[in-house]
Amino acid sequence: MGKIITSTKNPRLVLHEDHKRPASRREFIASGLMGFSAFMMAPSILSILGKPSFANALSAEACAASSATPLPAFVGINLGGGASLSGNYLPLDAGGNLLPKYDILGLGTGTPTIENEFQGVKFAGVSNGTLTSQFLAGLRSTTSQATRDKSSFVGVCVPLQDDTNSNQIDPTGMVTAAGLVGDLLPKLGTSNSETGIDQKPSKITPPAPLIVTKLEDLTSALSPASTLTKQLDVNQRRKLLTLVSSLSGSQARAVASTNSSSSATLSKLVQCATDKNIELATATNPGIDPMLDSNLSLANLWQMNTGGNLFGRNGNQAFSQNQRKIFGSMVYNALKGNSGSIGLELGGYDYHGQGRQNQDDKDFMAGALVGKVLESGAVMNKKVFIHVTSDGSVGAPSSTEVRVGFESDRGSGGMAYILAFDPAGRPKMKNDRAGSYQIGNYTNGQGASDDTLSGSAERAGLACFANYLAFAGQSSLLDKVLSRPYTTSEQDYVVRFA
Amino acid sequence: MITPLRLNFRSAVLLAAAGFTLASCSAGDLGSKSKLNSNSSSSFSDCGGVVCEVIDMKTIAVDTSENLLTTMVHHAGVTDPSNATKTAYNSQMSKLPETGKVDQITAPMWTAITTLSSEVCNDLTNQEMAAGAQRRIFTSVDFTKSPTSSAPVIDDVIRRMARSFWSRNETSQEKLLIRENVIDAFQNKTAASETKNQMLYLCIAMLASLDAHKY
Repeated sequence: MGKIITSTKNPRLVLHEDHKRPASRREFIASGLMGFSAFMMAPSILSILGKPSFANALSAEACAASSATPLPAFVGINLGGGASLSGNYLPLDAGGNLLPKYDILGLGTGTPTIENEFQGVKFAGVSNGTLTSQFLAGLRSTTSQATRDKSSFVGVCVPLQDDTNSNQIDPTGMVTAAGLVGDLLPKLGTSNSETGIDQKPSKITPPAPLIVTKLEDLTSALSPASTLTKQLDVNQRRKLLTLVSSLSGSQARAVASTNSSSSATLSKLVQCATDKNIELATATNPGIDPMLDSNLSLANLWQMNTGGNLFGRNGNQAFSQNQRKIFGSMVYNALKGNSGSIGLELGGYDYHGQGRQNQDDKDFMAGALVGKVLESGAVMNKKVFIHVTSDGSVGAPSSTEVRVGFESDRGSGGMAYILAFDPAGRPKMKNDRAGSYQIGNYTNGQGASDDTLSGSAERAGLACFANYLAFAGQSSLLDKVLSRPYTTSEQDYVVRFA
Repeated sequence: MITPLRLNFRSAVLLAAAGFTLASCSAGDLGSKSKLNSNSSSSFSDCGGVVCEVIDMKTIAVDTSENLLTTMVHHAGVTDPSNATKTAYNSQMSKLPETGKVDQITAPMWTAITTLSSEVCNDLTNQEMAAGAQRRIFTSVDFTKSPTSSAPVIDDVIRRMARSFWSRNETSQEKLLIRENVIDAFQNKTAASETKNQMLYLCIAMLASLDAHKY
């Protein structure tokens, strides 16, 4: 017998010096390497079985499992270029108090006027007869008081890099891992990036999004096209997909016969997916176009059938009809559970040096968009969670005057917003400290502290995710998706939804 | 439960095996976005012709959404995927799963697999029809006659496809299911041109089914 050689890293693996190097499948089996061959080519399906999120995402009880998943729609809105979010919402210090001054944030050296919304959240108030927070003005322009009364807000203080798509603040990878999976469509985005917006993922990279640049991108995504439709008629397609479903179903059941609960779930998933495929391939209206919905309330809300540019401040910086169709349709599908999370990219926020008028127009536009999403939740009677981000921020020259124009990039004054709407009533927030609607804090230097649980883009993305789960009533998923990212006290600090 | 160490060791085999797979279908190379991402710092040491050590193996990521087409083309033996196939692949990519990134089996994913299968199968039928006596799958099919003339050879086609796509023989239940379904779907089709569609149908059914994507 030849010398036995073991791996120092894997003592269970035994190889014999006088045996030839394993080459065939049988030899791999003999050497203990065989098990892997079962995973070699298709980790896409089988790797799922080992993931905790797999169990969270789907119930084996019914094919409508994902729509039954109690996770609300997640809408990411990125204001590309470095928006002045901290010049709209008034960031607080570590004690939850107002800063001594907000002049670099464009609000003058004096005590800022305050406008309350969302049950006491402080925004830059009225000055010389004009609401300084044009984000809030825009949001109010597209929402009813009733909708705002059913919404909550969290300010997240986070220093960000300016003018870059490399801030790791996008939490949608974690959101997907928690189980927000569309019934019909994948995660959607409007920017050709790994997140669908111009931000990098925080913690977990999301599945590649379907990029939507026109409504047809959504509708065409659901129909098997080209050869299938050219060569086979609709009855043949139906029969073919039924055959695929039958074959896959029996093949999945063969896997399930191992009596593993994971493989039983695989069997169910495969059956559900292939059955739904039959439906999609033959349906004339799969239910993803809001303009074909028997209830046109959302299409009307976004004025999809109306030409021209709308929802801007005094008609400025408004949304084109195509943009309204894209954003409205994506929000519609997110709310219906057709899609996973969605990412809406709104450009033009690298606006320093362009004058306060233009900056206010853009801030108003952002608020109007956020308001439309909240109002969409209201008309569709669905919960929705919104994450507003940007890449960096802007700074103004110190002045006693309020509403001074922003002249430079200033990522240290970064900020993100979280908004949540629940048709059943305003999402309950904690009231456990001064400024309890804020995560992290600003310093007297009017910048976001980096020594907090939201002190980096990645931590801010994680904080958003933790709050999303809390809003969904699914905080227990946090430790399943990530291995205990917070201590109990840290989680208590970060999560603002009661 | 697979331990991390064991998984890492297995990953080394993935590198070798998948590398072989990619090489074996290089005739149908797609230009080629298919890739294995590896940050493995070491591998098997060769001690005089025997495998003797594994050192610091790190995780190897396989981008499955990109691998899927390679796998399909390899299964079908398509040597030169058409532009239509490449276009379909690009348009469907976002719906395909990515290893470790997409924890879902969904209807959109299967729609994408079906669409992609239809293009690969179209390439296969075109390739086979042009191959004459060198056919590998449709050896006994007469494309100049109506689909009814193919009935006696369907079992042979099913067997060849099962071995190519599923790496096994079909079960008797599968054979019965496929044969009856195919004959039913083409029972009123009498034109000779429909025989190609019949074989296309058969190919899509088998290439888009689970066992073509599960190993």
